[in-house]
Amino acid sequence: MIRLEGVAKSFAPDRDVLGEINLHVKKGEWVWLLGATGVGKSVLMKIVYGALPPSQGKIFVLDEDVSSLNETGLSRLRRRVGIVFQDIRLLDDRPVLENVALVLEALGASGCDARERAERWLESVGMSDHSSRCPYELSIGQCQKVALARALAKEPEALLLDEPFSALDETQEREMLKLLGEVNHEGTTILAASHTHEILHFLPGRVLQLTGGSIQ
Amino acid sequence: MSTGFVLKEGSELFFKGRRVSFAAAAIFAVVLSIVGVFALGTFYLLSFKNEIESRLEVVAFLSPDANSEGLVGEFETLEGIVAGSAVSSEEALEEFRKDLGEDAELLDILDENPLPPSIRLKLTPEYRSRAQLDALECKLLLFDGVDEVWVDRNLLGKLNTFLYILLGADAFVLLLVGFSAVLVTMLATRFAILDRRRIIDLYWLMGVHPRTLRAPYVIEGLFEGLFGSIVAYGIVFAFHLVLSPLLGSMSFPAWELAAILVGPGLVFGWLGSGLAIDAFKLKRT
Repeated sequence: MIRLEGVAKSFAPDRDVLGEINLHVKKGEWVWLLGATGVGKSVLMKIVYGALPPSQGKIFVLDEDVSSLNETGLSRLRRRVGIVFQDIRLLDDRPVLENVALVLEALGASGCDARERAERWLESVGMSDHSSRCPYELSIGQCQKVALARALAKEPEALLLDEPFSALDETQEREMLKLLGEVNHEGTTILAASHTHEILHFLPGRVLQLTGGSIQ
Repeated sequence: MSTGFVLKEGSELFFKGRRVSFAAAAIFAVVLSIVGVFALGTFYLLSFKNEIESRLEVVAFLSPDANSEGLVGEFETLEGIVAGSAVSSEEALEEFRKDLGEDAELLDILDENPLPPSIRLKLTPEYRSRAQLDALECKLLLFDGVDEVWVDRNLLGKLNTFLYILLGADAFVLLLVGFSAVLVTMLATRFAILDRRRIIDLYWLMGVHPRTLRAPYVIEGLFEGLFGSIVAYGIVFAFHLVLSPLLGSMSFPAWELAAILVGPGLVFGWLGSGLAIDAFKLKRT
C-alpha cells in the first residue's frame, strides 16, 4: 500500500535529513511515526505525498511509483490520498464549509454532493456549528479539525497525517483518534507523524520511532 | 473537469481581483476601440464605394445613323445591364452646355454639334468590376452602330486601391493592438496566479487535475476580453453618433462590429491567459 525502499533525502551535501529509510505500510494498517521536532517526519510525509522528490530510493503509494508520475498521474494519485498538513493550509477568506466543499467540487463532485459530504464530515469532527465561520475566527485546534474533515471528505484509500493533533487537548485528541479508528476499521490505511510521546499509551496501530534520519 | 467549479472560480477571480481584472478589461476596451474605429471607417468607405459604384455608367457612343432605340432594347437583354437610356446628339450638347455653365458661350463658335449620340447603361453590382467591364466593352463593340465604349475605370481603380490600403491598415492595427492585448492579459493572469499561488498549491496537493486548476484563469481572461469588447462597442457606437450628422444616411454596422470586437476580444483574452498559464509550472514541492 505504502512502500519506501532505501529512501534518503539531503538538501545539501552536508545536510542529510533522512538516511536510507525502508518502510512498508500494509493495506488497512495504521502506522505512527514518532520523533522529536526536526528529525525529518514532515520531509518523509512530503516525499510519500510526491510533494518533495527524494535524493534516492523509491516510493510506492497505492501501487504507484510516485517519482515516475507526471502531473496528471500525480493528481490522480492524490485524489485517492487524504492529507492533513502540519501547517494546516486552510483558505482564510472562505468559510469552513466552503474550505471542505470546494476541494470536493474541484475534484469533480457536484455542488450539492460536495456540500452534503462537507457538512457530514464537519459534523463528525464536531465543527458543524462553525461551518459559516472563516478560519481566522477559529483556534488552531479547531482548524486542525477542519483540515481533518477536509481530508476525510475525499473518502481516501490512504490518509497521511502530519502532526494532526498538535493543538488539541487530550479529550479532543481522543475523540479524533476514535473517529480515525472508525475510518481505519473501514479499510483506510493511515500513516501519521507526531512529535509527542504523551499519547503513546493510547495510540492505536504500529508505532515506529524516527531518530537521526532513520527508523528504529 | 468540474465545469461548475471552473466557472465559479473563474468569475470569482475576475470579480474578486477587481483592480487587476478591470485594469486588463479597460486596456482591452481601449485597444479594441482603436480596432473598432478603424473597422467603422472601413465600413463607411465600403458604403461610399457602393454608392459611387451604383452611379457608375457605361456609355456606348454610336455612329450618327445608328438605331439608338433598337440598340437600347438589345443591350438590355445582355447580362449585367439593368437599364439603358438613349441620349441624342442634341441632348448631349445641352447637358454639356449646362456643365460648362458660364463658359457655355464657347460652344457657339462651333459650326456643328461634335457630340455623337450615345446610350448610357446602368450595371448590376456584380458587373462593376474591372474584368467584367472589359468583357462588357468587347461585347458592346460587336454591335453594329457602336463606335466606341467609355467606362470610368480610373475612379473604380482608385476606390479599390484606397479600400485595399485601408483594409491593410485595419489588419495591421488589429495585429498590433492584438499583440498588446495578449501581453496585457498575460500580465493580468500572472498577477492573478501570483496572488493565488497558495490556493493553487493547496488544490494541487489535494489532487485537483492540472487542467481544472488552470481553467479558471482562462475563464478570467475570457471575461476580461468580453467586458473590454462590450465597452469598446459602446465607444465605437458613440463615435458613430458624433459623426452621424456628417454621414447622412449611413447606418451603424451593428452586427459586423459586434463580431469584429467580441470575437477578437475573446480570442485575445483566451490567448493571453493561456500563454501565462502555460508558462506557470505546478511545483513538485
